[in-house]
Amino acid sequence: MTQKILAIDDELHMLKLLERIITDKTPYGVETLSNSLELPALLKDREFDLIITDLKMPGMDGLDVLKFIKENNRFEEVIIITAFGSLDSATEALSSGVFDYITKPFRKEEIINTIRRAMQWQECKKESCKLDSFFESEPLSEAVKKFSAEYIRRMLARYNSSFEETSRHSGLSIEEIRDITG
Amino acid sequence: MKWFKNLVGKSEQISDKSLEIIQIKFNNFLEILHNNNAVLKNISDMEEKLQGEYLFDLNYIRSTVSEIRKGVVNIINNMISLGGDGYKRLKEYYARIDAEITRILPGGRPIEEDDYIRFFDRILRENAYSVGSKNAQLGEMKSRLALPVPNGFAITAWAYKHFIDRNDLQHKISELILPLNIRSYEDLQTVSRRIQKIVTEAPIPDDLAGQITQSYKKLREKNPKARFALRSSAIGEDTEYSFAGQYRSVLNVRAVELLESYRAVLASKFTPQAIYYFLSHSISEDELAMCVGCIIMVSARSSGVIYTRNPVNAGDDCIVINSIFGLGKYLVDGTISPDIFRVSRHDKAIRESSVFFKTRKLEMHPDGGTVDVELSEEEGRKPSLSDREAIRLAEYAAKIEEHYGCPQDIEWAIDHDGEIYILQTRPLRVITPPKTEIEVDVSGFEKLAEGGYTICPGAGGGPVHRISSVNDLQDVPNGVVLITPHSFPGIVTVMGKVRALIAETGGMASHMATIAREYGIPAIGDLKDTGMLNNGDMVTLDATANAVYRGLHDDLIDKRKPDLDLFEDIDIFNILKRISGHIAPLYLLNSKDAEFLPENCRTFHDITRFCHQRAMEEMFYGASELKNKDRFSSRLQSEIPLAVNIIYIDKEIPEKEKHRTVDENRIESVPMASFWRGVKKEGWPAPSRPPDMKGIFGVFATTMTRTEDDRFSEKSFAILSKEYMILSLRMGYHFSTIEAMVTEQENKNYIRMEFKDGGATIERRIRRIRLLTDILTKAGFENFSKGDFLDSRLSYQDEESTKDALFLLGRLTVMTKQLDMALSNDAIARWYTNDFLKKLGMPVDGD
Repeated sequence: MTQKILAIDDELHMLKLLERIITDKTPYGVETLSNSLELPALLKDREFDLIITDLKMPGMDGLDVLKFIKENNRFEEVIIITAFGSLDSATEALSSGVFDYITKPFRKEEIINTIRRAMQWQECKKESCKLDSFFESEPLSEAVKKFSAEYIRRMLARYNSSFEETSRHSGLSIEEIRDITG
Repeated sequence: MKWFKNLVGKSEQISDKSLEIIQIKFNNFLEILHNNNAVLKNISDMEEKLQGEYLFDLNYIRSTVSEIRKGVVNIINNMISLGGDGYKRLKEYYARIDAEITRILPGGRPIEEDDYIRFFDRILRENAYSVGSKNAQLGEMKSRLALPVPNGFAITAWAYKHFIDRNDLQHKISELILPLNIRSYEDLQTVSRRIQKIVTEAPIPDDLAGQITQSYKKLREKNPKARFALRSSAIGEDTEYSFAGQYRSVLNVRAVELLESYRAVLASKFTPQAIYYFLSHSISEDELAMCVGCIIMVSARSSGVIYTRNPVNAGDDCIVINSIFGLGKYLVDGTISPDIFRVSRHDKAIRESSVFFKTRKLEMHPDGGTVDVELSEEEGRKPSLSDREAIRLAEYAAKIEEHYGCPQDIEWAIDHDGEIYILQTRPLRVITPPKTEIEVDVSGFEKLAEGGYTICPGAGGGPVHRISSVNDLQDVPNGVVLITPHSFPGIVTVMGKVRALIAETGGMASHMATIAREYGIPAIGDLKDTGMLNNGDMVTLDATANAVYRGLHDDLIDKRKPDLDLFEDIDIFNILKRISGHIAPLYLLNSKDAEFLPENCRTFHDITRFCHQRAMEEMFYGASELKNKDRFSSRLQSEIPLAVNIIYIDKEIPEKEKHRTVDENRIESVPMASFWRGVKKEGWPAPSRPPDMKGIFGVFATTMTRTEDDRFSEKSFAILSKEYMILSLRMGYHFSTIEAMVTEQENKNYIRMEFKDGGATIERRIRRIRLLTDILTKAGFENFSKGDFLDSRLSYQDEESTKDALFLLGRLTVMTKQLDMALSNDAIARWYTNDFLKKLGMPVDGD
């Protein structure tokens, strides 16, 4: 599934630029929001991988956005875009768990690299959450079941969903594989 | 600067003002270099941002422009102190360039004190920050272009501020706007209503009310039969942001309604559509003062809009005139579709005249206000403009475009006597067509409607959503193809939501059309036959080819996308690009040109270049002409038998004369130390040149003719600071003056040398000048010579290179001392040139 980014800025120019760059230069999906106050409602039934937000905005500012994400234990990482010189806020953001902050004006590569880094981090985070859930399973047989399912899922992906190939490489019969994958 | 204050204090003891003056001038000079450096840095930063590699916001543009403005103003002020009132003219040229920048990017400057009222004959475009762009352009066209513009007066930004301040309105307004959710039309309406109520209920201060009434009376006394309109002319309106049709005009205003109408126009700054517009463009509301124009109304037989370029087809070579009967309101609000005339830009021949049935017209009512008049088929089908009038209008339009230097959107009217009036002009946005014509295969598509005019090319698709009035706006969902019977105020508020736009009446000259192009929404106007398009139907509008198809055709939409660079179409890049056009290019290139004059400064860069050059010259001559140098100078102590007196302008002068010596190894001036190292490296030449008899005669001859030059008897002297030197050398029979600045910032660094005279005959002196020119050119200097006079310059090099160049000049100065005597022919001169080049370690020609 395509990883998704939400860009928030009250300045429509900047949103347009961000949208254009992400669409043209990365494989990720992007949505934009010009009124940060709409964020809580939007996140009620949506999840993104990354939120890129301007620091200075009316309503909820960038730090409020970050706080909202962290206080609600949400999955999204946050990148804050700050104007040159607002170092105090940047420091505050860092201590509150911002993924990174970028100072305006910035090079296209700078934001693209930061986005890539954040997305890779999110991928790892998803993997690690999955592993955690295996380890938290009780009893052992339940954990083994989950592990086997994931093992087969990946092997199927590796062999273009071929049950024959997967059977040959895993040492399991096709029936066993069907059992595990449900 | 502490040293400077100390010096000014001391100089009174010396009781000689001339040094003090030099110190003040030096201070001005340093300020100019410093600001020049800062401005150049900001300019190159701006140019870097234009390369498309950076993302930046409006704040970046504002702060950079503001830094540049500050720098240029400082440079001009210091230039005036340094060089005198002759440079005051620069302020005027600055204001002219700045007015163009303000026209692109409004705001960013506080409202300046001015009169409450200005009549049009006292308004030029430079006054836009005080009277708003619309009024300013009317004044400009009246005064500078002598075009027929109706008379009137402006109620200024200062008057607006007075009204707001006296009623303490600003914080009340800001409080309402700040938390506003601009995606909801309902909230917009509520906030708009509340602000407009506050504004219309606030009393106009007595002094302001008095002046408005008096001015109105004055205008009416001169034009007893005239009727008057109050028109908005907000700061920032008609700039890069058109605000087209966002604000209110009150037509046919009688004396009793004057003040109430003024307040109504002020309140229109806060209509839902105007609030939406400035919020969606990140424009700060308090920067946009509402100025108002009180203008004599033209009792219009016909009115219309001229586009000096075809806004949807940049390749079209015609001026486009839209025209209707009566007042122009029905055209700009899209009520009726106008006649269209296309006139060739070159031979002013009419290439197209399309006359339509104009169903109605708007006229002035004798008792105030306006009246709607229905037209019979016969009347309505007549052309609203004669060919002669169309050609005349095209001529005016071409003149206006030429004056402003970019495509214009012009409103005009013709009265019942056939007199033409120009009512307004503003920059026109022209859509760049795709660079390659792409054929799209639509053979399999089901066509639901076709016809009409392209308002903004492109294609967009989504479900059909019809609206019929302003009340329907709040229910417009995201991503629709919007169909409206005509344009109406407020439609701008849904521009963020629609994928494509169809207007059943109204052409490309309506306010809605201007706005659609600004937002880049594919749109067509005057599409009558929309019966097949029902609410909810999924359709695709091809606004380039004027057709509507059933279903969503992503391929078509994709192919119709403008063929643009990554950011070319994005507002903010355009803003920076256009602003940069008034700041960065350099037109004043050669300081030796007769054209190197303040009036030829077309950009801020020109102004800084001009001042930098003139400042160096002013300093150069100012320092050389310093009187009574002996009284506060110190003697340079050296083995070289050359008497040089030194004056430090950044140090206190030793009170006792016996302390006034400077050790040649302790020269506290980077440029002088570098130069003197060069002199010492070469050493003082033994008098062993082979002077032939002609050389000697030359000496006598020049001595005889030059005794009256009082500089001849002067000693050599140097005026120094840590980073600066001006050294005036008498080397036997020639003079040279070398001025230099050496700092860590290369933008400040420069060397200038003037070299003249000599002891030998003129041919030999000229040979020496040629020799110097050859060598200095190789060393990177720019040289200008005339006879035996050489002016040589090097600038914008880094610190080390500048020091090296001074070292070289030190050596050359000694090498060329009395050399002219020896240069009896060109071959000898060439031999010396090559010999010096070898000695200096520089490449020799032909090697």
